[in-house]
Amino acid sequence: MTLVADVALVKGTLRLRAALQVADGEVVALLGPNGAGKTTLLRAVAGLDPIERGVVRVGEQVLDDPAGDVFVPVERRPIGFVFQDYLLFGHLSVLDNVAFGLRCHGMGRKPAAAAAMGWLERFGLAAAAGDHPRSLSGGQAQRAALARALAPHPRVLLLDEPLAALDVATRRQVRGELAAHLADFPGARVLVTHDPVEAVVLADRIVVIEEGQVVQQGSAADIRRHPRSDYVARLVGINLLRGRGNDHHVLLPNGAEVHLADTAPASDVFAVVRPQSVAIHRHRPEGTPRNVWRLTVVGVEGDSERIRVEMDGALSLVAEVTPAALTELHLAPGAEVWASFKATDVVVYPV
Amino acid sequence: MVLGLAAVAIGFMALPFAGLLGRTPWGNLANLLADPFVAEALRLSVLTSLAAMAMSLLLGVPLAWVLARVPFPGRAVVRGIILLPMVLPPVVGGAALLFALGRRGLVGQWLDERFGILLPFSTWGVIVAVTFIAMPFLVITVEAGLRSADLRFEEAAATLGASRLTVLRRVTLPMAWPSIAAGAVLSWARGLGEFGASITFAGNLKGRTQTMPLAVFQALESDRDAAVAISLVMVAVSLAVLVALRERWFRVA
Repeated sequence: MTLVADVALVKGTLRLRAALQVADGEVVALLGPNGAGKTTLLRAVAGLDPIERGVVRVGEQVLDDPAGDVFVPVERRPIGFVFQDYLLFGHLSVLDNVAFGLRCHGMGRKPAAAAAMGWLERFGLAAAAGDHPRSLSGGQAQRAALARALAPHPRVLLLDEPLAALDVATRRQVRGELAAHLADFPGARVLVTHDPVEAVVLADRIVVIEEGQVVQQGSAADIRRHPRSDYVARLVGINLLRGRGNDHHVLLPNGAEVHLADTAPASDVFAVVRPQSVAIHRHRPEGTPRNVWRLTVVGVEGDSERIRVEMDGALSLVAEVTPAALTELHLAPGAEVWASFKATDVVVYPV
Repeated sequence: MVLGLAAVAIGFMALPFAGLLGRTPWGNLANLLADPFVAEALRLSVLTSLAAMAMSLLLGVPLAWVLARVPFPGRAVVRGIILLPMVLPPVVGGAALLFALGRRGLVGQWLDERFGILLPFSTWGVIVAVTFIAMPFLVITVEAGLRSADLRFEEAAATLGASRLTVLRRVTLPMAWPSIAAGAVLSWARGLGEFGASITFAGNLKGRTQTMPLAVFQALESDRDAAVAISLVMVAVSLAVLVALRERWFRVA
């Protein structure tokens, strides 16, 4: 592994305790809600936030090891960092920004300028070399920041919310460019995001962080199929229930029971129900569905094709219905409804 | 209402200068200014105010950095002491300097015995007095500039391989340049008009410690026309600098 980080630190109210391993050529996305500790983990790897316990290693080089009394300062780590709002130096030209790292590594003024020019050409910024960073567009500034971070040839590249500073219109285009540029970099790459689409498009592997801890990691497909927290389930848009497996049932903590088609393992389990599988009725349905709940509508959102209806009661459920059903059933927040799903539509896996 | 009050304020601030212009002996102005007594005072004023500005930059910028960035116990007290000359009557500052650096002062005695240095009644004495009064303006301005700076730029520089000294030299100071420039101008402007501390500590000796404000003070007693002429020069120089710098520096700051 190129990058091995196993860090524990306390910063304000955040207690970060997370491990991360990234191979050369791999792109890992740290995905999680705001305040989960994603950026702090990145900063700990870069040496901007010293760790209290654990270790940070790049290749064979130990960068941070409090127990062994090792701390390599930020400026001597082989790590490039792209900050959320890029932090291009306003008092330097775009070219001098990119040359900055090379100059710090002892390169002479002229060779550094030539090398920086090469980077700007690669990133399509040659024409802006003499410009002030302030005159760059959001996408250009991002490429300049990326070129600046890559110029000193780091072994690891860290990107903190690389698209967050852009407006929605340019974000998609820049995301594509960023994916291409990231593909050119041979080292380990870690990017922080709270946008699942960004994570899927840019990363090979997703590491989900919540409240300072890694709750799940794997490919996008893994995570979509088997979410392990409410946050992830909401991100991928499915219902996640947690309870205890008991023969053909899952017992929820509040005493409610979910009926299954197969037997569940007798342990803590997740039960997943897709919103498309949840039906909503005005009156108690007759017939096969055995999972029927009296719930209150708490939210309705969506577009002209699909509507998501959030309900709460003995359990929280999201159903996906058509606009026609919405009018027919008079679904508005506060409405009392019956929600049902079939036992065969429940997928169960161990916690 | 607001416009009216603003107009009153402008009138109030401009009126004394109108009085000065009305009293100016225009026909005789060239002769008055050609007097070597004026030229000497002008030379000394320029010399001492620029030297004091240089001293303020040399000592004040590092001090501002420490006050802004290095937490230490008693920082508030230290800041209070540094800013004291802005509040105290300059005469008190001059007297304090005399007790500290005068011939029989706390440190002055030792300077005299050990090195034969006598600051009072010398041009260096004026520079010391002016620096003492003017440097706080630079310190307070630069400290505010450094405090409002986004520290993450320094972090960005560090991730690019910049040592702490390189960060200071290539990021912190250049980014704080507008506040350093503004502080330098403020301290220079304050130094140019310095009177009380200078006259108390360095006296009013022609060609040695008599700067323009002191020359005006003396001329008022003997030759009113000369006093007005010198005052006019000071107003012109100060106004020119303030207008020019306001455009170039303060806007950025």
